[in-house]
Amino acid sequence: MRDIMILGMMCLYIPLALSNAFAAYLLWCWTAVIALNGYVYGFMRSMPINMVFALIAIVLIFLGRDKFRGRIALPRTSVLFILFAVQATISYVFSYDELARNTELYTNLLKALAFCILMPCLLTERYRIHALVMAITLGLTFHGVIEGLKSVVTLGGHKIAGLARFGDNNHFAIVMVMVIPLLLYVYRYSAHRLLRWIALAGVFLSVATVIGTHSRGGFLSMALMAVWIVFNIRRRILGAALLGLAFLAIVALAPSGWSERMNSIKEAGHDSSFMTRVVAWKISSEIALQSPFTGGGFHAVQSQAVWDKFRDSDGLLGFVDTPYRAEQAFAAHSIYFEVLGDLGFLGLLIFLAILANTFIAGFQIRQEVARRGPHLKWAADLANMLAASMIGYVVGAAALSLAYHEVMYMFVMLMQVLLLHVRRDVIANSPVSETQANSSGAHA
Amino acid sequence: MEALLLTLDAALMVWLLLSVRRCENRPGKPNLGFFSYIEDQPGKMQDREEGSGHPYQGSGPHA
Repeated sequence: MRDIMILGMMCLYIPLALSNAFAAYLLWCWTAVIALNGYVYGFMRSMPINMVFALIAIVLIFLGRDKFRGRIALPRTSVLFILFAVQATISYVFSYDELARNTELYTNLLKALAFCILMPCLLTERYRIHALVMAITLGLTFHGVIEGLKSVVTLGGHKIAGLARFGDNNHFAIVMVMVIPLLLYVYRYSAHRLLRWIALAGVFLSVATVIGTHSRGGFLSMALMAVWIVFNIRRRILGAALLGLAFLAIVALAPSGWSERMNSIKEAGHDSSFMTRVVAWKISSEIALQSPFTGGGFHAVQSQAVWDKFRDSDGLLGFVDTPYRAEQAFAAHSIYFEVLGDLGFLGLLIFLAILANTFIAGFQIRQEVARRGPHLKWAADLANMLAASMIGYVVGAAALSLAYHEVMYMFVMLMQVLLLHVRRDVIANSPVSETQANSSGAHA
Repeated sequence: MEALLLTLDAALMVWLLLSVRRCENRPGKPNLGFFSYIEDQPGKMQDREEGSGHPYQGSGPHA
């Protein structure tokens, strides 16, 4: 039944996508984050739905079927993404043998980067930026609404296991944390009252989803993300009071199992799960020391042969005592050590530059907006929300293998697009361009 | 419930696409209909912050 429904939806979407490159691009984005294949069990499960819209968008873009398309530019973030893709290719080629997910992760990363590199030439107007934000939130919040409703209806009894598309409960929690600031932006800037209420409900259910995952990292990153937002809004006292109330409500309403799980954060040093992660970090850094320019390839640390080879190595973390050494290969469980082990020191350097660049771009946007006046305040607010999402990511994913998740790259490029938009506005409204416009008008 | 929410989400996405298409094909100020946004305007910030937001009426590709 669902297969037929999604097939019917495709019959609607494909003509819309064919009519406009930007519509195809929005569908490429939405189908990537909503992962329709995960919700069907019949013939549509293996259909490359996302790839269909990706191909349509790329063909239409290069055929020039978009009257508002900007020129193909290479801003700072695009350059970093291209460098990261090159480094990923080198690591992929020189990887250890028989890595189970080498090709899958490499191709997924390239697809995500390709999507993002096209973003600056399509998001040339504010309504397009807003439409992309809507497509991302519609796609991601869908998962939060489903799982959040289950959590609320069962009063926390439903423990969320995660989604095949995003990974386990911890990965899912971080993705949900990342969408909450965007929902707050939609709530704040949507003109339609109903849409504002939908966004607010989305925030509530996304928070319930994060709680329902019982993820300690997810809760920690949500807390830091919320603190970041409170510090960056104009009504800080009201924000802090609301945050305090929300925290009290969560503690009061959350099931006892959740509270016990959160309390175990304090005992991380004695937690076997955490100490196994430290061993994985040691091995990941040892892989990088052995191959500093290429790394071991995608998720090399999860290969049993590689794990066995470096099991007794301390890598860069010899100062941490880990008496217990797991026999079974374990995921890197940290985006930083994941990239270090997979792509080497060079890869980690580019990855850190990508992350740092996002916050620098956010700072530049706020500076430009402060100079240009309040008509661009929305851009500063969106930049703040994207930065809040990225705070959630850099903190929460510090103990997770989530370095190649496309949502993060989308947010990074969205920040760059926002900066380009603000700078275009600055140029368009500068006294020099106004004078030029006046003089050309006078001669016309 | 999943199927119902999936249908709702898919319908919202169609609505968004149609809004974008209408916005790009219709001369005049960009208007995303249900998905319209509030615009900050000089001197109007305080009003908007007090909750009296107004629909987008700014300049765009058609202005």
